[in-house]
Amino acid sequence: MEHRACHCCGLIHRLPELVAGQQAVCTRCGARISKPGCRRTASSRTAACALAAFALFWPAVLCPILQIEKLGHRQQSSILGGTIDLLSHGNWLVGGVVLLFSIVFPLTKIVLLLELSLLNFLHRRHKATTLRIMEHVGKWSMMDVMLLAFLVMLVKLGNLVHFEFGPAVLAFVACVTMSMIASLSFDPHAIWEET
Amino acid sequence: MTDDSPPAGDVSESASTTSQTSPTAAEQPHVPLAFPVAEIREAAAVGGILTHSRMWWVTVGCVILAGWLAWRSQPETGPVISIRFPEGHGLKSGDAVRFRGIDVGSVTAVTLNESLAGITAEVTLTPGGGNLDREGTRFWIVRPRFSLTEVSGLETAVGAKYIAVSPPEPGAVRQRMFDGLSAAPPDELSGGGLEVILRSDDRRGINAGAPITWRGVTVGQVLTVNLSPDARHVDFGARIDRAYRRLLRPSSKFWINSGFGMDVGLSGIKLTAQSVETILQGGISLITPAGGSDGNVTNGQVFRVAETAEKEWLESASTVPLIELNLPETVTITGQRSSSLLGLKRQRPFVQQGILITHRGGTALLTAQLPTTFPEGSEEPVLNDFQVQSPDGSHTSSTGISTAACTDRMDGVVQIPISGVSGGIGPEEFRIPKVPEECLAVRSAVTEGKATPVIQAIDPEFLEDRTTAWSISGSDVDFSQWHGAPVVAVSDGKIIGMLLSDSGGNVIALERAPLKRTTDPDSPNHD
Repeated sequence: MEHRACHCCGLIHRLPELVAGQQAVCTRCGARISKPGCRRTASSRTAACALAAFALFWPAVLCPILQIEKLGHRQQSSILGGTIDLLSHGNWLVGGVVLLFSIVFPLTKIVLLLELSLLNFLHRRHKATTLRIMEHVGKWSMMDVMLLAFLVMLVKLGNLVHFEFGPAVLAFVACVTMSMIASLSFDPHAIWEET
Repeated sequence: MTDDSPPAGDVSESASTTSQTSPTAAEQPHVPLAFPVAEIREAAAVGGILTHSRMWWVTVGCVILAGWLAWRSQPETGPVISIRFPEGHGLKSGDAVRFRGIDVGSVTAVTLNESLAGITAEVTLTPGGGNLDREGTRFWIVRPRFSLTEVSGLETAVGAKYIAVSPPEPGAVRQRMFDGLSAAPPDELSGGGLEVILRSDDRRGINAGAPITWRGVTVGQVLTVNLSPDARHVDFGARIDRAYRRLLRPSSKFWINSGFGMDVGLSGIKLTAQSVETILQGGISLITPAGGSDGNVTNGQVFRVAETAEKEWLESASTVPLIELNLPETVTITGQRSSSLLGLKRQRPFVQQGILITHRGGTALLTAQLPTTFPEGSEEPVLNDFQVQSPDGSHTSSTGISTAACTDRMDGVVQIPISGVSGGIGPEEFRIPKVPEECLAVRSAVTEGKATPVIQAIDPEFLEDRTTAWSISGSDVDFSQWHGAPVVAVSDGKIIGMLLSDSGGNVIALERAPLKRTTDPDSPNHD
């Protein structure tokens, strides 16, 4: 008989044999612990969201996200373009931080999520490595923080300059949402389950 | 679950566990048996077909969204051109190319020429600006200009520079490399015109940009001031605007107009001054005295500039007919237009222009549509009563003309047979125009009981061809007094249409579409 900790309250249970139409719930908090096929559902959902986030990531990063017009100077910039501008102006620290935490880490996280949820045939050891990287990288993937930065800009600069959001904002918001759903629905237990 | 304490604590609190406590839990050899068995409940069926998760639909949606965004962000671009400028004036990539106040392209790169003799701006035009990459298009970088008489390009003093465009002649050949101008061409605002050289003994304070005036009205501009090739004279390159080019004849006289004259005599000091612009910049006056040879002035013709005007020039000039066209005699039609608003009948006067034409031996009135009414107990509409005032001052009243007797000549133009007047213009005075051309609207203005013709030139630049009519757009002239006025071609003096002015705009109705024959099958055909 298998043992499983409740993901909600941490109580460890023995799992009885389940047939279709049944699910195992925690004796204390009533959270669902297991259901036949639920692992596959979770990984399928994770894969779906990660794939969506992956597709949206490129327009979010490459399309113009902001269009600023100040005293007749019009500037259009994408996230990647802005980062490259920062780097080329010698702001290595800020540029590097933005590049790493807003572009490289989110992308890595999405790709690893996709890999973990899709590729069941990975070797156990490989899976463990990937999961570890994913967990560490995921902590530092701060795409959503940038949304806050935009909001701050909107509030603070609203009267000084005229600026409008580009098409990338839509992709960006959707990408953040999808990657959040993907990481929420990702069940680390699932990857160990032998099929 | 390497962390021991929380699960162990949970175990001790659990209702179904034994009395084991957390420190001892790890020591028990049969720990697994101590754990509760998870409860079993009925579960909702797991989605089958959609590969375990409905989230895939969202994925599909997101992929489509991503694809659409990527596709949309591909900027629609027109032709790419390079423009060489002698100086950059701070032009940067991303700056706009503007024509008539809107962006028609953007600068993608600014590089220094290899010879260091200038810069090259790479410009991507928008699809809308696609016709600007043709031979003859002129580009210049707009920068602030301050002079005594003019302040322009002020927005570029603090804002971004931009490249302004002067359009090419229609149908010019496409081209990729352009040489930009170092400054705005002086003739930017009014295209066309006649460029002549005015030779003077001295510069006399004339600057480029100085006005050329005809009886005080600016008709042109000095474009350049140079020494003549042999350095014995000063040559002013000047341009007479297109609207006034007929004023310039080979016999025309020019003289320096200092704009400021002082005459000290016994009776006191007499000061004469022209406009401030002339005082600041100097100016050249132009007049065409009588007795000179006729003929056209061509571009590049040289005129001498006198120091002062001779009195006989001005005196004889007033006798010269500068418009050698037989203007058609127009009549003024007045009447009452009745309108009913909320059951109240109101009479409002209307005035419009018209011409008399000969028609099958009699005389007919050609004018814009007249208001009609339905008399009591009649199905047939009848024209409102109107009065026709001929140029000689005589009045003719017409009452109760049925619309059945009238013929539609052009869109909005009606031909009305009238009695009591004679004369009129024959069909040979009409012509069917092909493309918009320079023309004049003619009407008669009544001053002291006498009608005198008044003309209004209409520049073809303002005309837009609409098959049955040319619409006038962009002109500042108020045409409301010209309703029904005949339009005469400047080239041959023939009547080419009729000006209609109403709330919908100003158009010149043309005799181009097949005639709509309502009742009169043999209305005259003027070919």
